[in-house]
Amino acid sequence: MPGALRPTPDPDASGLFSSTEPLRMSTRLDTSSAICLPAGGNTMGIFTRERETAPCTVEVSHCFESLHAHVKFDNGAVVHPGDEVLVHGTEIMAPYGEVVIESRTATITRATALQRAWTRLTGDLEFMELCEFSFSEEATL
Amino acid sequence: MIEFDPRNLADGKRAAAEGATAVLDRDPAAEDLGAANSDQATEVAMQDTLLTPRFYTTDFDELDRVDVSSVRADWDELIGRMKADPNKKHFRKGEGWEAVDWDGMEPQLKKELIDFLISSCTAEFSGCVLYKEMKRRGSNADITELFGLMARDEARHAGFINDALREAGIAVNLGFLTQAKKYTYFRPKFIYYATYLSEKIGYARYITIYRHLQQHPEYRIHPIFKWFEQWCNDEFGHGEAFALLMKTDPKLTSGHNVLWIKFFLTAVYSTMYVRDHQRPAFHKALGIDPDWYAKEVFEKTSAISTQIFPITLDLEHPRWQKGLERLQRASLNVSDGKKRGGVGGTFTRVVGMAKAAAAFVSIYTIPAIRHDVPASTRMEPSY
Ligand SMILES: [Fe+2]
Ligand SMILES: [Fe+2]
Repeated sequence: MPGALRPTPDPDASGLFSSTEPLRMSTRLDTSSAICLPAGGNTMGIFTRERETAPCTVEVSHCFESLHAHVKFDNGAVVHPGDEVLVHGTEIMAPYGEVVIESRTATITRATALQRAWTRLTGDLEFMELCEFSFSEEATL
Repeated sequence: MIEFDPRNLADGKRAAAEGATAVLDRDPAAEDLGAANSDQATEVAMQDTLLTPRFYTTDFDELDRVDVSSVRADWDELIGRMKADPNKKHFRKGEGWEAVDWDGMEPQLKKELIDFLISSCTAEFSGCVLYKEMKRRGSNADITELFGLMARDEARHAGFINDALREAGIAVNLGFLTQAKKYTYFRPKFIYYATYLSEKIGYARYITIYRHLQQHPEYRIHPIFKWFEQWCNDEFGHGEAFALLMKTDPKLTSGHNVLWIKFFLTAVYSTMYVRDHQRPAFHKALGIDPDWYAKEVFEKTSAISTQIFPITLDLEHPRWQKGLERLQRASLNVSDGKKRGGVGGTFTRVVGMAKAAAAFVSIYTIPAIRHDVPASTRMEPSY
């Protein structure tokens, strides 16, 4: 794949990297200082949401040949229905023509057993969004 | 994957809930400083468009249990063709890619054409995200191979449209990765129905525009349409793969699942109808009547879907066209109410939603046409 492979910047030390951020910082979610509750726990709370951190590899390709973006958990963590994933650090901006691969840390907020069951039940119902037509779109441009 | 892809609409709703007005969160104030960082420093003033695909999870164990041995010959032939990658060299801008006079374009047309390109790009990109996730999470070699190949195609399609957008001064922002993402659950069978249809209707849409512009090149407002012929063959092939997947389990296309199939057919067709009618200037410039276009596309998609679905919708039924028009009017009420806000606006919106629901029920309850399904699903693109 053409396009320079950028070395992984250290999000803390790289002032240069953060200067490439767009001006939407105010709207960006930044919970990198969030406290991580019991890490790596496999038990699922019924009422409590557990959080775990996982190292991950983020790949963003902003090339003519391929426009894609993926997050892969390096420790084999698996995301289940209703879980929420947050990749920490500055926004990953791949300049045009480049593939950026970075190692980051992600927080997986596990759904509670109830939430998971609920998402399984209702997730299927979310296809009803299919019928929402322009409820979410502007009907006139 | 194609622009009014169901996966895409889901995003649209979420974006709206977050206060944005469209699938994409366009922020004209934000400069694409990423581009400034590259050698294309002249593009600093590009308009920044945030891609917001939706993230899905499904029953990966069920997906892993899929056994394609009952369709092995067709499967291997299809995968072999995808691996050979006949379109590898197609997605290049060479001869025939003329410059587009964006500055001289009538503003409403420019707006609608850009909207068309952005929603197409988002759809291709969302397809790529979904397929890649299925590839990574699965352990069934047949399944992961298929999804890997389809993710490759969709990423390529997205990249190609992205380039056309850059020419128009629109830069996509992939910064969504660092935002909290919730994973929605979708049962495998719903992924099959929705994705199969979106691939096949995508083929029908692309080929119908392509054939029309072949006869009327004077209406070709953008060079990208010249690429549609081979492009849509990729989408056709993706649809073939889903047809084979559904063929491996007869339960998926019989019994109460037929009602789901009818639901997806109705939802996908009517969504396309409503959304296409939101771009009048775009269709006028292409010399296309959206009602004619819808009928052409529905007929082609229906004919193709007989390869696997035991029913087709009765497109000639008197309630069909009327229902679509009612739905379109209701969608105008809803967006009008939303724009106005306040008590009056809310009322208009709620009434519009009720009208839309009634219109949808009216077309969903039209008796479907039943037919026999062939032993082999395989079909070649022939339009
Ligand atoms: Fe595609
Ligand atoms: Fe596709």
